[in-house]
Amino acid sequence: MLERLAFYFRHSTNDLRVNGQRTLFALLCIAAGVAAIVSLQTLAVMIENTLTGNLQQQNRGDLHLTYYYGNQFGPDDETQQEDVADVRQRDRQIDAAARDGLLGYRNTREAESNDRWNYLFTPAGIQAIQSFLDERFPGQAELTYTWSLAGFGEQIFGNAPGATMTRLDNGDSLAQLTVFMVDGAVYPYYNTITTQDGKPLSEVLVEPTDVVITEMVAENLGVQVGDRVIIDGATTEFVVRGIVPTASEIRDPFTGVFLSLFGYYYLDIDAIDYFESVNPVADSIYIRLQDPSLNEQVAAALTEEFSYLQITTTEDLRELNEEIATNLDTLVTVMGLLSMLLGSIGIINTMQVVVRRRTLEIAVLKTIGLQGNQVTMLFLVQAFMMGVIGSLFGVLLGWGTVFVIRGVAENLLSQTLPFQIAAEPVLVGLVVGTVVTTVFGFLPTLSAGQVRPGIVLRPTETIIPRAGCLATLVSLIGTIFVLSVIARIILGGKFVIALVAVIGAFIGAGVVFVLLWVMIWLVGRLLPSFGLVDLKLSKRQMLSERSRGAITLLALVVAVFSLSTITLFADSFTNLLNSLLEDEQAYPVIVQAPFGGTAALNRSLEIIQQSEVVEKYSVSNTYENVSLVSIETTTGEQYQSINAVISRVRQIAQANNSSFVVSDISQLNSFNLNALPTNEILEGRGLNETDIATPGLVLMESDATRYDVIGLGDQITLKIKDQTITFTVVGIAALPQDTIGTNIAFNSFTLNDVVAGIPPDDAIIAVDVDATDMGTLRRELSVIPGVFIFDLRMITNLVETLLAQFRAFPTMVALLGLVVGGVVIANSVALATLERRKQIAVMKSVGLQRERVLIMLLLEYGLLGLIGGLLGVGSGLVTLVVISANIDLPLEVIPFGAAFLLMALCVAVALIAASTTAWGAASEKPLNVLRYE
Amino acid sequence: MSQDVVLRAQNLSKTLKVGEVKVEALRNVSLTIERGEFVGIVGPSGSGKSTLLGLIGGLDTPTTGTIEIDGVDITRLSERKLTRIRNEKIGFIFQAFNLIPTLTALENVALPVQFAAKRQFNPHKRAKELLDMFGLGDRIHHRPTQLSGGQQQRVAIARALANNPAIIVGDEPTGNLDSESSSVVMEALRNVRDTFNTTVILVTHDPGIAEQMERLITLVDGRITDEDARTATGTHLRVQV
Repeated sequence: MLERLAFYFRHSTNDLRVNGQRTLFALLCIAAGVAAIVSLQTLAVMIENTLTGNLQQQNRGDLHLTYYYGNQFGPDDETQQEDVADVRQRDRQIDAAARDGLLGYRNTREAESNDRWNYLFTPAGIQAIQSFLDERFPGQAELTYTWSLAGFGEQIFGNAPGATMTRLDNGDSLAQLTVFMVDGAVYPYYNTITTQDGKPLSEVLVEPTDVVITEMVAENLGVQVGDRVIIDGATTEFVVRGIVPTASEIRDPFTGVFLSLFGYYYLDIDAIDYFESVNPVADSIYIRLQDPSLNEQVAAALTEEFSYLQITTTEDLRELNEEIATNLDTLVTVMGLLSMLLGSIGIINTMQVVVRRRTLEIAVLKTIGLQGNQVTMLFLVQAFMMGVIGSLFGVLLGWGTVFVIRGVAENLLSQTLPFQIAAEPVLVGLVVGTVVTTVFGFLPTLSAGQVRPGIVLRPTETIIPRAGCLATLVSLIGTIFVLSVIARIILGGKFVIALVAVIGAFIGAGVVFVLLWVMIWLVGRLLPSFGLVDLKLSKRQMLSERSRGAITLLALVVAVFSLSTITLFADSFTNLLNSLLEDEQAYPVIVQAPFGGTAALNRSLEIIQQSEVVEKYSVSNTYENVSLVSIETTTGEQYQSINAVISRVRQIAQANNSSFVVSDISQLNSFNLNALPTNEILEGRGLNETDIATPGLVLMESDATRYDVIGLGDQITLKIKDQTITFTVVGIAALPQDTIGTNIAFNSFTLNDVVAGIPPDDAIIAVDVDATDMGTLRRELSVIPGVFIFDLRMITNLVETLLAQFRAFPTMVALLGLVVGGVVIANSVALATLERRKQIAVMKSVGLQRERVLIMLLLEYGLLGLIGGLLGVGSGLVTLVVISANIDLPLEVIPFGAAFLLMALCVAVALIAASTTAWGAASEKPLNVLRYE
Repeated sequence: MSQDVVLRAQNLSKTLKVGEVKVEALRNVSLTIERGEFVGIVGPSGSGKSTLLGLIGGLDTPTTGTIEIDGVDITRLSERKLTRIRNEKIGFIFQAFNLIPTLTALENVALPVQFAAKRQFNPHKRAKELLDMFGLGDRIHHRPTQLSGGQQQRVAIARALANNPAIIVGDEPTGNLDSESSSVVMEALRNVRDTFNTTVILVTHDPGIAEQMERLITLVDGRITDEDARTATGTHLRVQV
């Protein structure tokens, strides 16, 4: 037995060596799949090690405290009674803490909301925690904290104090920044943040006017150490004292994405005094323990004492990060396994050709006494050896790939990932590569065992017998079983799920195969040859080998489908956003003074009126607490209060057996005539200049308008502040479908001229400024404290940047699949040309130049690439169209141009892959082939 | 049955399907060959020579009729048993030599011994002896591509002899050789017969080779039409039409 095994190995080794090119491409197919597994899994290990290492450093201490109110919407219906009791108890404790001054609000607006959700730690609250720790754990704990200027979302959207930094020398500004207001002397525990010139934060963040920025901010704003900047909402200038690496404050993948994308900076804790509109409240408290093993004990004591604390211990962080790492690991492993399966298509092709090319040899072996199963074993050993060698090669390739794709993962996680060689990915790559290759090589080798020995007497009749239905079925079941076992071992979970997933993958692959087969047949039959012999021959060739063509394209189609789905969805979303902004924004820049009041807004208006960079502007006012005096309808009805209107609507609704909604008219918007809201007018007309003399009003649609309780021509008298104005209803407007834009009305609206002289409760100035002049406008308005400028164009940039960030990783994985698909095609071309050597030689012997031979091969594979592209990109498009139909996505936003580009990419991959081997085959000397083949 | 009869074929017919057309390649052929005979099968192209050779070599099964080799009816044997018969009782040589290109001469010759169900010899020792016998002792580690045509065919003869078969069947074994090499190969085959009393059955087109055979069977259109027994060896050709 051993002797026979040794023979199988020796024979296989010799065959692999003698048929170098064929072996090389087969090995490449395996290697590409294994490389995908090894690289993605190694990356997952690197991510896991990075996320779960240096936990104290990531947590900025042994304990990280934040305020936590729980469910902001309060207990739901399903909440158990005891939970409700807990929530109520905590509410009481929070209220007590707020009364004691331990919790407070960031600004007056939040204070007015009086929402428990918005509380943060006041200086007294911080002190209370310190005192508790000193009492319960004497000499054990020290703490530091960060003031909060605004919520995370407000900072990202640029509409918050500290979110925009402007250069003083040229007015260039950078928005959407996050500020970390820290005590530089101690922050952060367990780590030192060092500037580019090697200074720790404690040396550069000393004065309240010192600012330390990240490399990204420095680069984008073009500032250096020593430059002066102004920060939105602050009453002083700041001096840049240091520049730190962008990764300095990135501690978790979620906020890290935003911090690395938009940038952040450090201010000294005392700089809070310069932000007059903001109260000193902390959103984070970091605790360092002398004995870190007391971690859980301290956390428990704090939770018991302060019920509103959310405490993250290093152990919590470890669990969280491990979960993230595990999920990521599962994702990349599935992608890797998929790539391996795609690569194994190359193995099926190769083994088929190996068997076909060696049919005579098999027949000879059988004439001298080898049984069918021994022949099968011989080829199986060869597949196994290819698996081992290809997998080893794949491991090396995988390590190389890690270097290429590491950057994408680093961007996604916003963390530096040091390269490391881990044993598990290598082991998984080797085992999966070898087993999958052997398993996929099995079916063709079954055919080898069926070769009739009589072929030796008629070598021209080398038709490969089919393995037989039963053998094929048994082998298919075996293949599915083995793959399920592999998937179960690597991914965990239940075997049944793995089995269902593998069966699903096979069914999916089967469907795609059939579609490709049909498409190849259709193209081969229906595409005219345009009198071109080359094209005619290429089509014939393609038709004669459509099964192989279909199976070769499987890998490419799957990869292109993934790539196109990611690309087309992301592009559609960006297009949709752009179209929404184009539709909705009269002027793209919003100027607001939420904390400065009317004086600040009026001052802003003056500057805007005088500014040379402002092309147009419009003011939109909001009046609150508007009261209804009376309504006189055209039908003679009179309503003296909104309740009377509601009663009438209720009557009609009840008669119709339906619920009802009446728009609140206690708020009123007013607009300039040149920038009216874009809400759809359902009845009547929009406002025009005649509505100044006779005050016109456009009502928001509601059941009151639907049931004709109020309608066109009705006289509505409103009391706004101290003035009473009678309006005529000139139009009914639809409620806004979205919330993007500067001129959308949420309330019934009139013209500014009608309410001129009545001070509004809130106002927005919409300004038309060129994007390049934004710096000038910011500089001009920076003299007014409490004014915020928000460029709506930022939303597009924000979404595009975020999409680019999040799509980068799946795109990278899909591109790896595309590489595998390319390798499978290269392998297929190599095999096809090997099989067609005689045919090529005959063509050359009758006068075809090698260029023509090459063109024919390229035409054939270009057509196949096009078919793959049509199916891959086409199915991506169909998916998108189906989804867009369900979510009311307009067809105009679907990026058909990008779809064509992806198809072109598919053809290009096929052509490049084909060229790698076709040139050599086309150069073959005909005499060599015809004499010795 | 006489102990000297090594092959007995009775009423052999073989119908082949070529595309949609059925071709009667052999029609009711019967023959008996005794041990040590040196038999040639001749006939024009398409006469059924190769089909007959395939049947008596156990490479194919007849549509009707029976074949006995060394007293064993191989007609209805399973593929597994038939393979064993080929391994133990029959040696093959081909026009195109059909050596395994990735194996050395020694490995090629040792192969049938290695895969024998009941091993009679040490594979490599046996292979070396046979190659020495055919004057290839200095070529045992050469691959087929490193050998001349004549040398390759002698390796093939050695491989055919590896398990000391009762019959060697050859399909145009000199068809790819020059006259000098052909002579060497034919000489080698005669030596095999003389040394091991092995029956040699060759299909040939070459009148020169046919001339060297001691018995000739002529096939035309699937039937044996002529016999030419060379009585010098005292053997007899029996034709049953």
